[in-house]
Amino acid sequence: MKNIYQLSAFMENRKGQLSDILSVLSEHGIDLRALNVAEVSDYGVLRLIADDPEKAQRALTEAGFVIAVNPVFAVAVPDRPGGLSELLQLLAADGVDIDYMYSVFGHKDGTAYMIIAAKNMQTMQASLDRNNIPAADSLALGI
Amino acid sequence: MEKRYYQPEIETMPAEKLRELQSQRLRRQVKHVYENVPYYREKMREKGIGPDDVRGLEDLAKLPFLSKADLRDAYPYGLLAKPLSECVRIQSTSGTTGKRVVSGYTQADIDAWEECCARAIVAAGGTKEDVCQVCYGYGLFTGGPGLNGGSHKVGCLTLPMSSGNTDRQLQFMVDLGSTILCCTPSYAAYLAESLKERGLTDKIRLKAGIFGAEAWSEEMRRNIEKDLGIKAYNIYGLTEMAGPGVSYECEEQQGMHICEDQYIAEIVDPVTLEPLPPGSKGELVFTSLTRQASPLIRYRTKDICILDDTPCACGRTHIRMSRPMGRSDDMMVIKGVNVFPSQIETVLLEQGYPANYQIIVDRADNTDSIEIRVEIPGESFTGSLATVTEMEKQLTAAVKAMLGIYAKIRLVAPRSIERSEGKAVRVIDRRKI
Ligand SMILES: [Zn+2]
Repeated sequence: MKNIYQLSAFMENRKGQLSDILSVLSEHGIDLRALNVAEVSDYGVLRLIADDPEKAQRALTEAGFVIAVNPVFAVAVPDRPGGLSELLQLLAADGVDIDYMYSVFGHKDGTAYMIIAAKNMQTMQASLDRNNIPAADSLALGI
Repeated sequence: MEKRYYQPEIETMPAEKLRELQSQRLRRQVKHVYENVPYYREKMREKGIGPDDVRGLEDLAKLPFLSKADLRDAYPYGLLAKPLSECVRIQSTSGTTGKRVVSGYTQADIDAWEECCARAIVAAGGTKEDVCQVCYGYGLFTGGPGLNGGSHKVGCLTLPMSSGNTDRQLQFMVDLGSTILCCTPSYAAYLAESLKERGLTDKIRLKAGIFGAEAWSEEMRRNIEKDLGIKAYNIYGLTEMAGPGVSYECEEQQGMHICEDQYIAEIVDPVTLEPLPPGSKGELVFTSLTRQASPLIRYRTKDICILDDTPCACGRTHIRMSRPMGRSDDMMVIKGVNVFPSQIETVLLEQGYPANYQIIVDRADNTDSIEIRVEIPGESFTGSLATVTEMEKQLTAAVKAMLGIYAKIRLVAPRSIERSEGKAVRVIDRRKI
């Protein structure tokens, strides 16, 4: 599979949690490619794509954060009206069950990518292959 | 055929006869205490009663309570009901909190105590063919001397190991073929672990364990039973009531039979001190019926538990008590319901959470609220928000099932709750501020 690795951090919903996490990363010279927060009332999950996922995981775990690492796909969104909708329809037609997604810009060329986490990553890979949609590798995102 | 009871005529005595025996012994004991312990005589006078007002069990509630504070006030000999020349032994509590409490014994007291321990050993399947390894501490602590004496009475080959020196414990367990292990449950778990590490697990001959002197869970029992290949029996006691053997489990493992020929057990409301019927949760109160040197009437144990007076399949007629569920000192009344931190701890451990938590009780618009801050176990975090929400939901339901009231669960990061030795920091009661 041509996926990239995303870090998820458990966050309590209190002041300073996000900046605590970000300062740990910057102290270790880790760059962020993308950032997304999903939350309910008391807690949330911070999702991030770092330039060095392994190092980021180590640094955050040592700092006492709860971290999970999951594979996700980064898919380039066609740069035209309705591009994202088309992509999602193709995936849905193949029975891909999307957990969540968020956008990120490519490292060099500024292409817009969607980070997509699916319930079944194999199904999604097959669908991407069938529809000839390339998933970006780490390089495109500068990882 | 295996002997099922140590003293069958007592252990299976019909309930009615047992109550009669208790009434008769209570009358005698109250008279003995009134005549020989000025401290208690004064307490009875304050309540306006004398020994003639106690004709039997029905008058028990007229009698004043004793607490640990009374025992400390009376230290060392203030509550002794026999001259020192008649006493043959002193045992004492560990004294981790405040002044030590000492308990005196006549020879008859020692015999009665050891017989209770012998009942526990026989209930655990012990006979004179057994090798009984006692690794409770010997000395002032009652664990070692009590089980040692009981083991002698049963006729087991007794190994008075005392606590510690794990290598020697394991060597004797293997070489001398111990079949019954008496120690704290945490030490039993540690011995099981050590056996595994040394590859000795299949070299032991243990069949039963008699574990007590500290709180332990059903899950811990199952683990010890599996790891040692034994049946694990719970035993309960307190120095103020002689020591271990006040109650013990039979093969049914459904609560501990209280030696009711020796002790009257009551459950009282910890706040109002009103006696509660069997099946109610409350503070356990004991009256010793035969102890001569240090007889205690209506002694508040501070242990919270439930009594079960339904018949037991083992044939013993003596009432059963649950494991202590907490200490009355720690009890909180929230929305009119008694809540103990230990109940919350039990749920957390059962559900796979660390036992580091904080309880925040508050009141707004005359309504109590309780929030429990729980550290999320790092390994259970998958990165999915839905999973965390699901964990929170499950824990909320489990806590509600245990407490009977809704408590808000707040999952927090690991190691974010201050570690503390005492229980005080675990509970923040803002209603009192
Ligand atoms: Zn029984």
